[in-house]
This record gives sequence, C-alpha cells and structure tokens, in this order.
Amino acid sequence: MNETRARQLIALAAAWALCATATPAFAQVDFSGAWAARLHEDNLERGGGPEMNEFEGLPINAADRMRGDSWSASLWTVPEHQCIPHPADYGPNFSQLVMWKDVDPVTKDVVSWHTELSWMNPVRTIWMDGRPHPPAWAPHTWQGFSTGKWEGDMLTVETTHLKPAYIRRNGLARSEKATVREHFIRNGDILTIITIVTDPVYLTEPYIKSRNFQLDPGYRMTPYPCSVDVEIDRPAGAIPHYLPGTNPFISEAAAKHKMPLEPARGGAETMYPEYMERMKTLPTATMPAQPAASGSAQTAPAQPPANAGTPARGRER
Amino acid sequence: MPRRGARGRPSLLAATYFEDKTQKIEGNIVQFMFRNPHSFVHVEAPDENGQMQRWAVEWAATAQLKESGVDYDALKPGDHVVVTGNPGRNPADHRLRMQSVERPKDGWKWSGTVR
Amino acid sequence: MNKRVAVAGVIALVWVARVLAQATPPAAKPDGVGSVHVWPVQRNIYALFGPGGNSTVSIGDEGVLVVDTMTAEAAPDLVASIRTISNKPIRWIVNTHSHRDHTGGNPVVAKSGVYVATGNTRGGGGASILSFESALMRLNGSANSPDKVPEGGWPTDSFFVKQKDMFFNGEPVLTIHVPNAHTDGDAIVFFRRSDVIAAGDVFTPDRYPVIDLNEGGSINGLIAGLNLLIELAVPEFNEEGGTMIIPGHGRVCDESDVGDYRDMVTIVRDRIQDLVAKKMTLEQVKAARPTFDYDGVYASPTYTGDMFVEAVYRSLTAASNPAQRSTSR
Repeated sequence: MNETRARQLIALAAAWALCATATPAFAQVDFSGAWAARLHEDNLERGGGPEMNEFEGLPINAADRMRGDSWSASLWTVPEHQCIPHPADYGPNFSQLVMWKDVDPVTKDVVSWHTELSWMNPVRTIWMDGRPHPPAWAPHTWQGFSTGKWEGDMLTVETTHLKPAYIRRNGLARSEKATVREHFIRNGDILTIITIVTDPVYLTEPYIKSRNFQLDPGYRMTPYPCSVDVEIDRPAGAIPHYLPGTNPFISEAAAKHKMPLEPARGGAETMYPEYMERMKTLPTATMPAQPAASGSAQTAPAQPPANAGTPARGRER
Repeated sequence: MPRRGARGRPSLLAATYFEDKTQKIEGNIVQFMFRNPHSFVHVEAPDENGQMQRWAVEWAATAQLKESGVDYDALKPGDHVVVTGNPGRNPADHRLRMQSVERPKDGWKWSGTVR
Repeated sequence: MNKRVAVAGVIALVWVARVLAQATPPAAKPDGVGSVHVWPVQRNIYALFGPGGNSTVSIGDEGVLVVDTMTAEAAPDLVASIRTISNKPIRWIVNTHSHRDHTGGNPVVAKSGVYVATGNTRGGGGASILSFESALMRLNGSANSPDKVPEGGWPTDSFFVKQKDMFFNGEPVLTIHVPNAHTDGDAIVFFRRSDVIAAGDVFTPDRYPVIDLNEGGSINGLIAGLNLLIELAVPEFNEEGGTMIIPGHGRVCDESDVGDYRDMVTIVRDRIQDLVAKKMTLEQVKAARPTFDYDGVYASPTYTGDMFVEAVYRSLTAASNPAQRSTSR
C-alpha cells in the first residue's frame, strides 16, 4: 500500500468512528449527586397525600374510577402491602434523590445511571448500553427495566416491566401493562424529571407530570429499613375494600373544598384549563352523611374450606 | 437550604383518618412496634360499647420519633396509657392516628403531629 | 510507508475497535428451541414458556426434574429446550394437576428420561411421574376424564395426603396438595433451597383464575391456595424478589405479584358473595359487572369476566350445598 493510500484509509476510518459514536461526549450531562425534592408542583398531593376519592386532573377511565371507589386505605396495613416502595413513575413525587453512574473502565462511556430515593431506598438502573428490554415473561419490578438515550443534552428513558401500582396513592390503579417515558433535564443546579405514563388499561390519555429537584451536596442518604408486622389484627387473607356503591366518602373531598363533584371524579377533560369554565356551571358537592359505626364496608372475609385448618392471625417477619 | 422532605410513609392521613375528629382511649400497651414505615402502639382498651378491643395507634417513622425524643424503649408492654388521636375511617380496624400519649404512672407524655 | 503513518494507522484501528465495542449491546442469552423459551429464575431452577402451561425445571448433578410438560405438540421443543440447559437425564416429572395443557407432554418427556427406583419398584424405563391422587385417576382414565393421556404419560407415583417430600439436586422439593382450588387435584412444588415455587394453575397472573367445578375446583379453595403461596414466600427487599413463583400461565412472579392477584380474586369473590346473599340470579350478578375494574387486566376473548363471574357464582352457591366435598384427607 502506498503512503497516500494509507493516509486516506486512516482518515476514512477516523471519520467513520467519529460519526458512529452514539453521542458526542460534549452533549451528555452529569446528573451525579444528591438532589432535594422541591415540592412546588402538586404540593398537597405529594406532601400530605390525596384525599379519598379525589381524582381530579387525571386521565382515568371508568374502570380506574371503580378501582378508586373500591379502595380502602386500610389496604396498606395488609402485610404484603406494608413495605412496597413507590414505583419508578411515582417515586420522584416524594423523596430526596441520589444519582450516580457506572463508567466502563476502558471506553469511559457511561454504561448505566442509577437513582436511589430516600423513602424505602429503592434503587433503579437506567441502562445506557443499548441492551434490549427483557421478554414478556421476565419478572416485573417496582422500578421496572429502563433504558436511556441522549436527545441533545436531555436524557430520555423508556421503562417497561413495572409491577402494578398506582397513578395516585388513593386507590387509582396503574396496570403492569403501562410504559413510562421520562426526560431528565439539568439546568445548573436544578434537575427536572418529566414523567409520561401510558397505560392502555386505566388511562385514556398519557399522564404527564414534572418534578423538580435542587442540587444538595450536603445530603447523605440514610437507610430506611422496613419491617412487616401485624398492624391491624384481622384474619390472614382478609382484604379491606368497599363493595360497589358502599363507599360513603365519594363526595367528601369535593364538598370540603367547595367544588362540584364531577371534577373530583377525574377524567381527561379535568386536566385542561378550559374545563374550569364548565366547573362554574356545576353545583357544589354536598358533604356525605356520617357513616354509621357498623356501616364500614369492611367486608367480612369468607371462611376457608373446612379442611384448610385454622387461618393464622396475620403474619410477621 | 433546600428542604429535605418528609421521612415517614408518604402520608395517606386524610384518606385513612377523620382528621376533624378526636377520640380518646385508655388501657394497657400490648405491643410497641418502633419501625418503618410507621410505628404502631397496640393498646387493649374498651370501645364506646365497653367491649375490650386491641386498638392500633399509628405513630411516626423511627427517624421522626427519635427526633422528637421517642426511642424503642419509651413504652413497654403493660404500661397503662391514655391515648388521644384521630379515628380511622374503617371502624372495624379500631385504629387511631397518634396525637398524644400519656403514662400517668410517671407523667411521661408525648404530643405532636404524625407526618 | 513511513513510521508516522504506521503509528497513526494503529491508533485509528484501536479507535475503530472502541467504537465497535460501544455500539454493540450485551449479547442476548440463549432462549430455548422452537416454540419454547427458557428463562433462568434462580439457582437450580429455570422457567420454560411455550404453548400450553408453563414448565419449571430443576437441573443439577442428579438430573432433571420437570414440573408440568406443556402440550403434546410442544413436548419435543420442551425436551430440546431442556437439553440446552442440561444434558443430564430427566428423572422426574411432577404434574401440578391433570389438565392437558400441563400434562400433554408427559409421554414424550417421560420417554426421553430415565427411571430411578422409588419405594415402588416397577418395570420399564422413562422418568417417574408424580401427581396428586385425583389427578392420577384423571390422567390414567380411571375417572373417565378428558384429561386422559396415553399410558406412557400416566403418573407412576401419587400421594393423597397433604404433602410429598423428596430431596433432589441438593435441595428439598416439597409437593404440596392445594385442596379444591383450580381442581381437587392441585399441587404446588416448592424448591426450598432455590426458593422457587411452581404454582400450577392455582396462580395465573395473566388471566382470571379458572375454577374447574367439574373437577372439584372452588373459589374459596383457590383463594386459600393463593394465601398459601403468600405464606410460603418471603420477599428479599421491599416486597420484591426472594421467593420466586412460576405460575401455571404468565410471567415469573414474586410474593407481591401473588398478593396483588390474591387481592383481586378476593375482592371479586366478596362482591359476588354479597350479591348471592341478596338472592340475585346469575344473570343479575353478571349485569352488576363485578369484574369491570379488572377486565382490562385479566379478561381475554377465551376467558371473559362473565365466565369468571359465572364460575365464582356457581362455586359459591354450590358451597352452600353440603354435598360439596374435598378429596384431601
């Protein structure tokens, strides 16, 4: 090979390598560090928590509304529910956040990003190496399986394989068929996470929210061990819920805040500002009558078959 | 300084309890669970009909309790206590959210807001 | 060619190699043969997915134990898929119940295996097959059931008490009868050291539970079976991982997945029980749509919410009939 030809081939190879690199290093942003939650958006829901049957601003369908109407907060005391962490699409609502990266020692490329939240310490991995998502029969997890790619200086993350969880933590379900897209955006010391939940089972439109965090270099993640104990003494397997038509609190939140009932029932139209014009035409909800002491819809658990032995009174670990 | 946020279970207080009501029970502690996501105190005390019940009184997570001076040995089984709290929405649970607890024997008392 | 050009060439080659390394994601794992897919669960245990029900496989130095053998049509692919993860002989088949989507492959899989002596000596070769007694009677034709398989697929061993234990591939293997659940012949298989449970059709997270009333199934028994799975399972952290459960149909699960499913079945049962107590007819109960909020997750064209409602209704109304019996002693 002559020298001119060799120079041409070397230049060609170098140009190809430069173009084939996934993202120029200068477009990637470093999210590493500790981030304090700034509860500016949806403060009441994220802090004190939503009220019973308060579904406004969510694109839920009738099936999800029924899930919410059937839900009892007592469900959280069932042993299998006590130590559930927030799933990936709900976690940024609430906690302090720490992010770090794994770097390939040879190529120095970021192989994965990780997040950890202060409440329950769930750790999440966002794969940056192009690996495919697992097949349909793989296990689902609270944090799901996430892959990321750069779009300019914004990290876009796709998550599948989420366990069934919630859109809002007052009983509105989010199914395991949902997928989540997020955009991680850093502006100086502010991290914005935009979350888009698409659920073919329970949502009529994508549910979009944004959460902001501020860099907090002094923050140290603390452990949050959770133990499962008998919080409420009830037979094992008894599941608290309201039978259809028996939830006595459906209009309470709307009446308390002097709103009509219709917006509190949720639906995509309640997300949009023009709905406020419709609200002005609707009557204010009335406070429900106080339920009788024996009126709780706590359903008595069915008796197990005669040969199943005595049901255990709860279970501890 | 950025606010560091709550440390207990993300509250479902309004959905779980009647925040505008208060109930008082008096009885003996059966169990004090100093733990996450929420501590619980189980008290054997009569209900409004005079029937003895095992009341579940929800308290704060361990970090919040420690901050307010309550540690795992603050209460013991057998302690006679007076508890005031918000009643739970499900009366079958016999459940309160702790507002105050007092041990008359030595005057030990705690009051505060569970987050 | 001068030295500088040669050095530049080497540098360029290294850079190209780097780019190729970046651009290539991790290699996919081998995944079974034909219509059957293999998924490693943990330690000794693999889950296999294909036509019909799921299979669970224990591999180790003693050989292979297979829980459920899919359909007859899928059996050759099942055996070939097992061969991709172990070349040891198949020694045991355990059937979780008698339905053909879990036992149709018995003859083919057993024939590809090797007999190991048990307390009951018998002639012939092939893997041993274990099932609960009532499942055996359906599989060998004694009970005049559509589940009957060719003779090579009949169970060679059975049990009629609560549990049968064995030690295989370095761990206790507990086959536990679940009375009157999906059928009256259900068994779950607990690999105690691997911490994996093969649940059969007691747990089917991708669909409503099928209650085979003709084969002694019942909704209360099924709920008890789900609660048994929860009793046995221990999650590792934050209600995730730890004991893994391979369902009769659907994905690999853990305790919280069983809990979520148990909640749904219990709530639907409670709703229908309430309507039965109000003396509603089946048509009235269906019209009340007690599964409406779950249909999007669990209903399918072949097993609708109405079909599940009917099974629960009939099970609950039969349960109030003292003639209903359990076969477990």
